[in-house]
Amino acid sequence: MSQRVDPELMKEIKQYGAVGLEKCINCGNCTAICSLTGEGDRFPRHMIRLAQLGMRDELLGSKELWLCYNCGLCSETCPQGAEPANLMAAARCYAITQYAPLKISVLFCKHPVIGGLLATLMVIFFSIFMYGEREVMHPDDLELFGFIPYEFIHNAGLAFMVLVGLISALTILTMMRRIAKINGLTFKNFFTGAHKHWLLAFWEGVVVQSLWQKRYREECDIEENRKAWYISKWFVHAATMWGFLGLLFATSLNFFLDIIGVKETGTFVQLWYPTRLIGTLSGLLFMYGVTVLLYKRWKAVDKAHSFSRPSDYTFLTLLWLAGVTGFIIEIALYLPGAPTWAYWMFIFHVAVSITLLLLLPITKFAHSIYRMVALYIHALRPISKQETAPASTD
Amino acid sequence: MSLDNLHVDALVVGGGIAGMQSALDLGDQGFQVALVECEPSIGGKMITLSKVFPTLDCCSCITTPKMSAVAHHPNIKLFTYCDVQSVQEADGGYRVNLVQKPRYVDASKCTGCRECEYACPITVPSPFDRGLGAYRTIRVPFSTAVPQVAVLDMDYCILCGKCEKVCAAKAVDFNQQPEPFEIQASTLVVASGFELTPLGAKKEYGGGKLRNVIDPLMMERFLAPTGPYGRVLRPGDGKEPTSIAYVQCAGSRDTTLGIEYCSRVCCMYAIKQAMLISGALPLAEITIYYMDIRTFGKGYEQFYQNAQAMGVEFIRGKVASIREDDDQNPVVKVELTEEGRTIERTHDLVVLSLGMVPVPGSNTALNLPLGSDKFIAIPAPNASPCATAHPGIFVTGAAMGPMDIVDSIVTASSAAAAASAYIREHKKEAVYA
Repeated sequence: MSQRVDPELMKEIKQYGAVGLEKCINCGNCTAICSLTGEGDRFPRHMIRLAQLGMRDELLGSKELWLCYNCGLCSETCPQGAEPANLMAAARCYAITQYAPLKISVLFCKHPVIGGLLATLMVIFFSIFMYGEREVMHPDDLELFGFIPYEFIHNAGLAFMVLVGLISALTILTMMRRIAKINGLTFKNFFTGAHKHWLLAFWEGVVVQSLWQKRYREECDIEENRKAWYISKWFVHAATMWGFLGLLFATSLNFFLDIIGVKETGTFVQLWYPTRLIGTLSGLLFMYGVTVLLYKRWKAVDKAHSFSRPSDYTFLTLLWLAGVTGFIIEIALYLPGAPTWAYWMFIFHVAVSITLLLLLPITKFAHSIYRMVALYIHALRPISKQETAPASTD
Repeated sequence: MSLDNLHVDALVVGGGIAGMQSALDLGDQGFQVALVECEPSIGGKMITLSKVFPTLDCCSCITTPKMSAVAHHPNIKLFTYCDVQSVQEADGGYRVNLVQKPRYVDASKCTGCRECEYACPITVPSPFDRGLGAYRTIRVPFSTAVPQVAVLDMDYCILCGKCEKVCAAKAVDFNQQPEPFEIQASTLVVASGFELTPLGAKKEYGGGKLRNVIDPLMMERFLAPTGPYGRVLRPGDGKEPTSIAYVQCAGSRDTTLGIEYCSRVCCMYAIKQAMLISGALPLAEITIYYMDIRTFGKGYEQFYQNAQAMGVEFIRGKVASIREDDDQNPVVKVELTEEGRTIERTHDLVVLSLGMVPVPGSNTALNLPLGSDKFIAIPAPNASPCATAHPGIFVTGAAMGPMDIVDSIVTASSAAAAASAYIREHKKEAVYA
């Protein structure tokens, strides 16, 4: 197979924050030190090689990009200082822009300052929009859904969710198409024609690995993971993720209870009420995770947190703001009377949340989707054409 | 031997192969030379080695005659077991303050008969054998040591007095004290040599705690005819290894160690040792894991190809980590970069091809400017390859950077030539006492 070297790819990936890529001499230290590489998975060295040679399609068709949890061990031990972990992160950033149907993604991932500004503008826009739609600011009881109409929030929320869902489905299809092309697979291989039943692979990839973080916790054998559990790398990440999912679950449950007529959204309940309790606990977990993650990036505590793209900060900052404003509103709910600032905080909270939701498929947030897909395919082990082809007779 | 103020033309610091060669070249030209060595014997690292590459000549057979030549040269005064304390510019030359460390043996009386050694009850690990062998607390450092004078290690001595009783020459003297003295020299030649990167420098390679992971100088002692066992075995349990691996670039070309340069000798000594092991243990499998093989010298590439033809296995991939299995066998993890898969492989013995670093503290007294590699800086490597930043101070051998024996001898003669020219120029003006 001949391959034309394309030096442009390396330059392009560098714009997503890769440094030291040209220092790599392909010694293989990174791949061998990584606890996640097995017989079939060749990263990070193979990814660096693809980037160096300009093998764009192969790079974007590598599920390996998303199997990495960025523990940073390869960068810590790289004899050349080529920062392989950072290349993986930059390549993931690049892949997000390439899988996304909207090229506005490039602005968030490649031009992080513009991305940050755009996110800010979005928050301001939604705030102003809601300000225009505002109704009664009840002075005695904090009636948030009287201030910004319940119908507006829910209908807009649902519409945005459907939109984001559709775009995400498109990006997943793009990613799978690219993986299929490179590995000699057809789309059917992702469900049948694999070493494992797709339901089992789904359980393994989505539940055991993505949600329960088994490999991240058990196999990423790094200094940061040997620390006390509450400060270990996997837990801080899991806290963020579990907290976020918990909040999502509590909100959905709340909405569901409203639909079946048990409890109207926005009515005052005691702290022990299930949805409130789940929400509060998840919120605490979430805030802990996001704050520690921000701190680690800010202080650059290790190699994995030393190369922060401003897009990393944009994502984390939005998460943090959504969490903090949520808590402030919750505190306001228990205060006597109805402070005016709580109403303004509510507008801000909703605006940040909508921005976060809308940006999901095109910013770093998208890693949650792609990692799940990659882990599913990794567990599935689809059978490629080469494997099924009859053995050659020579 | 009088320790009164001594005037010489050249003072050579270091009695390894480079220092000895410089001293001999200067002495042969009629200059008065003082050779200072911090160890009890001259010979340096080379006298501990087995064979030299690429000719596979016997190391002792080259080094020992040079050691004798230095000792018996009419123009060379030898000062062993001495430390350089400070150097000052004085009278157009250098005033060097030294201290004679106490041997607790009168060098003028000792005949090297070794009776004291046979009588001594205390056994200590021998640094000459890299800790693999043992010798007595009072001993002649090794069989071909120059001078053949015993030395007592006060750190381990229990002052039992047995050595004193058996010494016919009445040379043992427990009351010796460090003796400072001074040498005036027109020029200095620095040949302070190198050290290996510490065996425990990389925690991924066990941090020096794995018993069957050794450094290359230990392997030299296993292979040398004068070695502690006269055969190759592994230190963990004395078993004869059947699978031996070399991990190249274990102590150089590694930014995580802060040693970014190539040590230049590791590829060749690994290949040489692999060849010698093939002779010592014909059934052993030998694997060399490497990033690049650098065989740049005359006859070196052929040497490498010979090793391949002999069946030494060369695998391209930097070993990422070494762990120990239940039988103390080192297990290396490496990506076979030419195949694109990662393997773990168990060996009986692993040799870390450690690099060369400057001897810690070797520049304290001289305080010469250093290069970015922390070896002594050479301001004009092409025009004056042995001249330091200080006029009249020359450097040779591994003190100026990693180099093999061939290059050490070349730079030693080069430094001697430069020093000789400097002394002649200097003598026109200088007034001698």
